[in-house]
Amino acid sequence: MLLAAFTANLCLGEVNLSPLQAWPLLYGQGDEANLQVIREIRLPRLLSAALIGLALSTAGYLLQKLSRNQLADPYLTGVSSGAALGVAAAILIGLDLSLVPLIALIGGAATSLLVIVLSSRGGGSTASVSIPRLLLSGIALSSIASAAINLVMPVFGTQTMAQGLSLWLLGGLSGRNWSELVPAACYTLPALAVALMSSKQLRLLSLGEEAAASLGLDVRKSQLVILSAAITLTAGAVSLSGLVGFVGLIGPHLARRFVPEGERLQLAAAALCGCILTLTADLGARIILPGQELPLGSLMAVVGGPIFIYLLAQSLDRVVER
Amino acid sequence: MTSGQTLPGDKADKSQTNKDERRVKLQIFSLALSYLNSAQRAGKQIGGGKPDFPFAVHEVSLSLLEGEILAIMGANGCGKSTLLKGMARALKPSSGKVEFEGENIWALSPKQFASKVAYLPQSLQIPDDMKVIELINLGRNPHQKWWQPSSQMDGKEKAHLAEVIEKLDLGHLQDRNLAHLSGGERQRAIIAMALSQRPSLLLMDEPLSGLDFRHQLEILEYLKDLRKDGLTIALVLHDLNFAAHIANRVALLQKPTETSNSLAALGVPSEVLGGVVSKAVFQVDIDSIETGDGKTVFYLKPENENS
Repeated sequence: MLLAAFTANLCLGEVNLSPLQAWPLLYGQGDEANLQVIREIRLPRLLSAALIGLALSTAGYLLQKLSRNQLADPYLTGVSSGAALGVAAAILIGLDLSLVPLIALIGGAATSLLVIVLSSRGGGSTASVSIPRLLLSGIALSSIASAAINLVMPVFGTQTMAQGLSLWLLGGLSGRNWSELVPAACYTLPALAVALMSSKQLRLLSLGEEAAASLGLDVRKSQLVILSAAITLTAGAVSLSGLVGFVGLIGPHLARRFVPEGERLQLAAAALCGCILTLTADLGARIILPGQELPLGSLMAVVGGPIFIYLLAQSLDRVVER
Repeated sequence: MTSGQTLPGDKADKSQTNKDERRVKLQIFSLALSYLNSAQRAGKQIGGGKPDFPFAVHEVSLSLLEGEILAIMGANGCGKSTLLKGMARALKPSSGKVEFEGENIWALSPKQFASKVAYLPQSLQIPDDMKVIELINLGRNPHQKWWQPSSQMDGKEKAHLAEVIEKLDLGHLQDRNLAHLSGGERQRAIIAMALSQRPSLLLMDEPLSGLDFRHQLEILEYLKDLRKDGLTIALVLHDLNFAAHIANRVALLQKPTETSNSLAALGVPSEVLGGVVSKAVFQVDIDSIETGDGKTVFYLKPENENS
């Protein structure tokens, strides 16, 4: 499936190619114009799509396990609104647009760190991060950041600035090239590796903090490592594509259906499902309206929303119980 | 209230010979435990007000000898679970200290401690997709590197695990989901997880709660077996007769106040539980009869029948 989605992304678009034409182009064989399309436009874009799908879905999985709530979403830690605030500020100041990914990353990560600090709990018993507090302070900070954008933008910004911001907020991958993909991959992929290696810690934490500690787990350290991985993954995705919703919710959900047990395998499946979802959605965004591009985030929500509701209806009790 | 009175507990139990040779496993030095931080204890926290008495456990000193079973008993809310948490490195002392084999338990790393002492809290949240064998494997965690999957182990470790599984009769249940087991089977699986840590001390908080009589007895028999293998056990219990049946000594706790300490009495079950202190702690009239085979059986009387 991943391969099919990959190939379709490679072949379809304003210039349609057959798979037999497209694959050799990857290795640099074929005519010059097509080579340009594949190597400089489609390949970085589809890898970006794959990367954000993988990152968001994995982050969603980690947060869902950590909070024991299947409705947890990677944006819960305030990454999205922090990034949006950063980008809004950048647009207002008139910073170069090529800096937007970096600023989104910094804004997102800074907000999440603040959320973690707010939810840390020290004192008499074993120090740890309070997950309910994490979710609550995430929501609070998100609201503050959105409110700040809404207050500041109409007062100081121009029409064009507001449009630029809302375009970014909608999420999309149009025009992503290697110079944006490579740095994002550089910190997202290590975070994914960390996530894959902490599956045992997740399992131990699922026994409850006290039991996990009694089995020799440094609860606070494990929580911080897993949260940092989730935040890095989310912030990386946001910096690359703006806000793309639902992947982080549906990806893990699909993974749990296909792989009923085995934490590490399930996590890998979540990453894979996320990849396939975003690749398909981005393909749709590019080809549904010829000559025009649909916003990826909105497309994801329009298609993903009903799928999610369907899944929810099918297994409502399980979602609530676990 | 006969507060602060302690029986000469460290004389240990009569059935044990060579008591001088027995090593001290865990020693508690005038331990105080509190769920409040020092600002809250002083009443300086906003909205707090000064609490009546801020410590859940106060001034407890006792030593746990190698190979003994100590029952921690007392009325609800007297700090039994808290004391166990303090021994299990789950709650930092407000004052005093706890030593395991002569070392302060807070000087050990979580893994070092967990490879010697297993602690089973009152309730374990077990995800309903977890299988018995996975739970048991997780007990290997203190002996593993963080990236090792819990099922990865060498031949020697496998043999030990097989032994644990056999000892607790879990062979036929290995691949079952814990959610589908009966209370007794579930409790056995949880004990097996603790044993796969290879501890020399096992701390259990109410291991019998929620079990019927047969399974309560069954778990106690397993624990007796484990003691024969040299395991030291401290457990919170409610039933006087179970305590008399299994424990070498009983630590009877009371709610600490400004004038009285947590430890009301410490000693062999027949002396401690039938005594005046026990009646005061539980606020019921406790009587006992000696059975033919030298055992003591306790029974409770309503206070007004006491003539």
